[in-house]
Amino acid sequence: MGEQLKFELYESELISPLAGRELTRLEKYVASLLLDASAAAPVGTADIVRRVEAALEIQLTARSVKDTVRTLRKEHKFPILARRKSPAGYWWCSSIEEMQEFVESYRSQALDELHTLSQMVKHNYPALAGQLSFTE
Amino acid sequence: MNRRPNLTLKQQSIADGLVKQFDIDAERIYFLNEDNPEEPWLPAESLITIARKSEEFQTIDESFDQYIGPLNQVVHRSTVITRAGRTYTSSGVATIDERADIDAHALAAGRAVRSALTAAGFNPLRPGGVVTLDLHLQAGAQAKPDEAQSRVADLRRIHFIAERKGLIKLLPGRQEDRSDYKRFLIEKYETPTAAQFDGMQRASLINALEQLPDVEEDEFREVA
Repeated sequence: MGEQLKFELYESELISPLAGRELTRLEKYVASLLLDASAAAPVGTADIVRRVEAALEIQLTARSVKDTVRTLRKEHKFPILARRKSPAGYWWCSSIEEMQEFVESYRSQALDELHTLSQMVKHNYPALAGQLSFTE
Repeated sequence: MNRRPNLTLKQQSIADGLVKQFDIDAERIYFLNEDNPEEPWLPAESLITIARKSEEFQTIDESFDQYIGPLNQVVHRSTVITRAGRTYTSSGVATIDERADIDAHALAAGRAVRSALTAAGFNPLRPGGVVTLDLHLQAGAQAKPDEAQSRVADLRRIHFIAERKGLIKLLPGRQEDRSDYKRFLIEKYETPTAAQFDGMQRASLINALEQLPDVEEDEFREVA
């Protein structure tokens, strides 16, 4: 994925949304804001909250920022990456290496959460341990 | 005041009001917006005169920026600094011979100044505003220009015009054929997307699209 592709994906989704659901005003703005971000200079949650309030007069919480990014990823398939450690924040993926790194960190985070869940259940409710299954 | 034969009574009344209040050149008040025929269009000098009278600005500059050869366009740039010290810069674009009655440089300069003033929250000529001539900055104006928001707004306008010009076609099943639009971008700007353009390039694209003829409405397009 090159630098130009993220702009193509964004514009293409504005014209003809993949799942037929148009981006909301908030989603359009957040995705546009993140187009100018990068792995070296991601846009943090607090910054998104502040910018959205100034531009759209919509009050967001950290939770709603997360939900918005999730919708952009899941419904519109935008490759928006995130990092928790400094510099923390969101940005559009601009190379296959960036995506690979994100996949690794996302996977280990998910595995860690599953492992935690498994430990809790096995220790306290062993009868449910065999029922642990995960669907998309 | 002298009646200009090409103006409607309402347009004449708006023009007279502007001349009386701001002492600007009556012959250079135009009404170019076909969708809103009562919206006046003023050249850069007149806009600057009005903006200065508002005392909301420290500085209002306008100058020629560049000529875009392949598109035969001229670009002017305007920068305004508000009393509070906020700076807004915008571009205005016009195609050479775009109109027979107004020079392309005057068109581009007027567009640049108006765009910069509007970004600063000053738009006394907005629809409905001309009657009251509100010379104060709008409270909602952003502390600084927001590129993310400008991109969204400009792209909406670009896609609307591209559809009107037949470059983006609505297909049955709510799908859009944008192949002609992409071809146009590649041919004129050597890129398949306008989302990566800056404000000046988006203004150039809007102007270039507006020069294309409108397509005839096809009332049977939904019929396979």
